[in-house]
Amino acid sequence: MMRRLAAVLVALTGGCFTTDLDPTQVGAFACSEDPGGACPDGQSCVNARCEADGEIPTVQIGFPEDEQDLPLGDTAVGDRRTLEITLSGTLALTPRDGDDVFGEGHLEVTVDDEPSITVDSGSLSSIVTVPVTLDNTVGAHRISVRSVRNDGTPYDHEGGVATRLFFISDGQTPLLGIKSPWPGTEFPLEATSIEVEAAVLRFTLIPADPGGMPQPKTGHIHIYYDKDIEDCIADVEGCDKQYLTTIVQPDQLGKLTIPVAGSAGEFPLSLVLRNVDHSLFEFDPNPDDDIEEAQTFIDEVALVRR
Amino acid sequence: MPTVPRSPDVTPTPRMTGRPAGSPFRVRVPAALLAVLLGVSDLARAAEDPPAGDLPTVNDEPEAPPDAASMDADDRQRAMDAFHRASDSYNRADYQAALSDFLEAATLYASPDFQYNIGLCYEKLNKPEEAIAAFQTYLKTKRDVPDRANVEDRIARLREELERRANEPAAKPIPDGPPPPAPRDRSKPLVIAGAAITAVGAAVALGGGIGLGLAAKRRSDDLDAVQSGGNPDDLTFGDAGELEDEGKRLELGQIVTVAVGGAIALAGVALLAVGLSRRKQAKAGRAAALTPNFGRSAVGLSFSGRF
Repeated sequence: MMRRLAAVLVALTGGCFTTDLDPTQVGAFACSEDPGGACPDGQSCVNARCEADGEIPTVQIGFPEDEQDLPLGDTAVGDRRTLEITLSGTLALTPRDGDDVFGEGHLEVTVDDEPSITVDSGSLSSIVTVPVTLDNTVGAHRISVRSVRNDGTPYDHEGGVATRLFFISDGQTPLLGIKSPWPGTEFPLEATSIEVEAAVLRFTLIPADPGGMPQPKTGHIHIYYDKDIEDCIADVEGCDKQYLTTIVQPDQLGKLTIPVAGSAGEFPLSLVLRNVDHSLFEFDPNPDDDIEEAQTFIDEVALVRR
Repeated sequence: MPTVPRSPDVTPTPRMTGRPAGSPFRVRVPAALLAVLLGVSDLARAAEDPPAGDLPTVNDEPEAPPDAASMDADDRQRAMDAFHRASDSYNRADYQAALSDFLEAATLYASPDFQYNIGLCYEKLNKPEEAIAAFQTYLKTKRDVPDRANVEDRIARLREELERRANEPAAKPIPDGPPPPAPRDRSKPLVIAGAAITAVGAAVALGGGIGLGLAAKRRSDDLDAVQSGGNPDDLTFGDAGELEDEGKRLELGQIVTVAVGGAIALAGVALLAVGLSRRKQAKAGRAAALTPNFGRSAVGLSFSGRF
C-alpha cells in the first residue's frame, strides 16, 4: 500500500528541484575572461576553474632581484655560468608522476628562453635555492619560473608564474631590457594596444632633438612593432623611421601603451637605444684600444597574437 | 346519549368523581361480591337504592357464584381494588386503564356486570366488535336482565357502526403537507460534468507535476553535476545561477500547477459525488442530498436530509 502511494506521489510530481547553488564550492565552476565567466566572491579563476583565493598556488623569485645588476661571473665572457636563484611561494612541490591535485605540482625554470631545470621537491613556504646556468654575457637576462600541475597543465593565473629581468654587466656598458611583455606572451587578435615596460641602466633618457649633438650614454628609445629590426637599423625601405613611439624620460619606462594591429601569428617587439638626434646609439666599452667594438643596444621579444 | 358505565344496582355505589355535575354515572359492581365483602344486609340495602338520575341502571342482582362465599379473601379484596381503580380511570376518561382493571377484576371474580363494564370500555375505545362481544356475554350470563332492551339496543347500534365501517372505502392516509413533486433524475449532468472536471484536473495536476517536475529535476541534476560531478559541461557560476533560477521557477510552476489541477480535480470529485448521491437518492426516493459549495478559498459538500 505504501509503495503504491509512494509510486503515485512520484508519478504525480515527477521529481523536483532539490539542489541549492553553493557559491562556496571550490573547483566546481568554470570561469573565463568573459563577463559571464566571473567567479563567486573570494574565488579566482585558475585553469578555467574557480578556486578559493587562499588555496591558489603561487611562486615568487627572490634572487636575482628585479633589474638587479649582477657582475660578470668568474667564467670567461660568453661561457656558461651558474647562478643560484631563490624561490618561494605556496605551491606544494610534489613529484611530477604524482596525482593531479589542485595546489600541488612542480616548477619549470626557464633562463633566457631556454628550459633550465625542474623543481619538484622542497618547500616553497621556506626559500628554495635552485642553481641555473646561463651565458656569462653583458646584457639583460630573463628567468621565468612556471608552476605546473602534475598532469602537465601549467597554472595559468597571474601568481602561477614568476618572471625576473636582471642584468649582467661590466660596470660601464649601458643596458636595455624589455620587462613586459614577456617573451611568448599571447594577445587576442582583437587587441588594439599593448603595454610595454622597459628598463635601462647607465643611459640617460632625454627628449629627441633631430638637430642635437649626440652625447655619451644619452638619448632615447625607439619602439618598433612587427618589424625586422635588422632591416630597420639598416634603414631598409625607410624602416628606420617606422618606429611606433619613443621613450624620452624615465617615467615612460613604466607602462607605456602602444597601438598594435595585424593578423594572427608571431610578431617581434623591439626597443633600440637612440642618440638624441635619432641616430643609432653605439658604445665601445674599450675605446682606448685599437679594436673597434662599437655595440648597439637592442632588446627584442617575440609575441603571439591569436 | 352519552355512554356511561352502568352503575351497579347495588350499594355501595362507587360514584365517579371529577365528572361534571349533572352527568353522574355508575359502574356496575357484582352484588354477590358486595355481599361477600359487606354482608347480606348491606347488599340488600344497596340493592334497594334508586338509580342515580337518568343513568341507565341495572336492576337485576347478579347471581353470586356458588363459590363466592368461599372466595379467597385476598382475591376478593383485589377484585374490589381493581374495580375501584377501573372506576376512577373511567371517571378520568382513561378508558384503556379502566378496561385493564375491569379485565383484572373479571379474572378475579367472574361476574356478568364486569362484562357489561368491559363492553362500555371497548365502546369508548372505539372497538365495537369487542364491545358487542362483551355485551353479549353480559346478556348470556346475566339472569333476569332488567335492561335487556337497552343493552340489545346498544348492541344493535354497535353493529350498525360495524356495517358502516365495512362499507366505507379504505381510508387514505392524510399527508402532512402537499405531496412532494416526483423526484427528477438530475444526476446525469452532474456525473458527466464531475467526471470531466475530475479528468481535466487530474490531467493538469499530472501533466504539470510530471512535466515541470521532470524539468525541475533536470535542472537540479545539472546543477548537482556542476557542483559535485566535475562540471562536465564547464558551466560558469553565472550559468549555475541561471540553472538554479530556472529550477526554482519550474518548481514553483510545478507546485502551482499541481495545486490548481488538484483543486479542479477535487471540485470534479465533489460534483461527481453529488451526482452519484442524487442518482442513488432518486433510486431510493430519499430526501437526503449532497450539495456542492464553491467559495473563493474553499470547496466543500453540504449534506442535508430529514431525520
